[in-house]
Amino acid sequence: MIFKMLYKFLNIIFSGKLKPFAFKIVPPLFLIILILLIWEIIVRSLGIPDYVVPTWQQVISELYMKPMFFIEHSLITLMEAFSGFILGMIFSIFLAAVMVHNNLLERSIYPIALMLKVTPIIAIAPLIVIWLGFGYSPKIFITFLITFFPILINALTGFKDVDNNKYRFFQILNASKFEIFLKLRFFTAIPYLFSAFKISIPLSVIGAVVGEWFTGNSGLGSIILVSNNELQTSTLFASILLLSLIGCLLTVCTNLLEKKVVFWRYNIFID
Amino acid sequence: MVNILENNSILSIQKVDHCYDKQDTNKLSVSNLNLVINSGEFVSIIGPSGCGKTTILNLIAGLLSPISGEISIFGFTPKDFRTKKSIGMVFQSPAILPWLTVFQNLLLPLQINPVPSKNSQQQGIVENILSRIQMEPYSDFYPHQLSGGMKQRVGIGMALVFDPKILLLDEPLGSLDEITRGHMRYDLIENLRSKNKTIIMVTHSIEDAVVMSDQIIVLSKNPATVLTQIPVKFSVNRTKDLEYRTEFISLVNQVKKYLSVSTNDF
Repeated sequence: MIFKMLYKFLNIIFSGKLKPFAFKIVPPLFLIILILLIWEIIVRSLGIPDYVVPTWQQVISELYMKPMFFIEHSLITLMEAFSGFILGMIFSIFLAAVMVHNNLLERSIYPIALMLKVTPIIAIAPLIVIWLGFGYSPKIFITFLITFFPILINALTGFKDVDNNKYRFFQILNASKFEIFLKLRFFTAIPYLFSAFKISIPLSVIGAVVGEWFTGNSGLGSIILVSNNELQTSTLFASILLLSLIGCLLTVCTNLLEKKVVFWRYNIFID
Repeated sequence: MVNILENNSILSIQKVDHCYDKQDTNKLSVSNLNLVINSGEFVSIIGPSGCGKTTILNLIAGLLSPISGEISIFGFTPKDFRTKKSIGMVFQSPAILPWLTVFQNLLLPLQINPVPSKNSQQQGIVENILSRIQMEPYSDFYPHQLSGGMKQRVGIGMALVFDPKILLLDEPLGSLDEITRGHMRYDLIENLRSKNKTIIMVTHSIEDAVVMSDQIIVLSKNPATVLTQIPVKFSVNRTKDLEYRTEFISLVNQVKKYLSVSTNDF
């Protein structure tokens, strides 16, 4: 009976107008359901205690029982991640714009930026907390540090990757460096910037969580820390799930925005 | 600057040398180049691959400077002449910006050099160019919605916005297929030759050069120097029939012969 209904349902959604949507949604949805089933079977059959691995129903009920608690802390983490990312984005684009016009400055700044990138953020985090205190600022600053390098490198590459013919055309028009930057370099770099955003956005969530671990009074990172200490594994799982959802949400939004902004890359030539 | 130009000549290149590596001036890209081009002439420059054809166009446009010799356009240096907005340039892959519509692309030169400053006048100029390149119905289209030939017409339109006295064409038909290329040759003749502009075109195609030019300059292998200048004495109004005439075929063979001498010289 269930299989018959499922077959009918799949037949409906895989035909007609819903077909392209179904091809995108149904396969990952089935995989998620399969993972949940395997999770449930393993936990029940092996008798794993819920402080080690809870069942997925326990995780869902945790979210259902304390919705406002999770929404409040999720919003804090989201705000920290987003603020740090925006700060990193503005600073990186500005720095890349300066670097592309000055070789000496590029050669001077690049090693410092690289040093910051390769130093584990978790090693610098305690220092940042000492310097900036226990408010939002250290978390936002840690997020800024973790996100700015990929954007800086991609922005710099994009600003440099100007088509030679287009550049010559601007020169023929006696365009100033500022006009060339504003009307040519910046737009050329937009696809590169979106590629960087796709790397930096998940990093921004990591940055916010690391910051919360060290300041530990609000946000999903601090909940993870507290629930881990108190062996409240279902709360811990619920927080991890929400962090994944925040990362996915931000990435999906970036992808949608990219298709709108960089429209010329997603269209087929009629030639 | 001393005016070294002859009566009808507008462009004079005298003993010009150029090299890209300023540290090693023995590696010349252009050597002892001498050329005189008359007003209203359509001149094609043809030569082996990598011989320095585009370098010559860049020198004329003032985008590069010679290490010795003199280039004079209407008595001005190329850089000074360029600031008068009197040079237009068309490239093999048109310099159109994919994030702007056809109309916005044609408006771009007027936004960078706002002469005239009134929006309505600027729009009038763009509309005039649109009709000249027969792209009025496509004014709101983005480049990705256009064919290769249409894009090249927009590229030509962008170069014509300031009605330049000299037009430099850098392999303008190079990226087009054979059929579109055949049509575009006559499109260019109709759009440009009749407007009494001085046109200098760099090309790999002997047929393009013979169909469109008044004079063909064959260059030697790198460093570029003038091997020979061949006058093309067909009537001004040229049609596709020209390509089937014996004079045309013999001229094509003559250029081929010089080009093979130039290429074998490698």
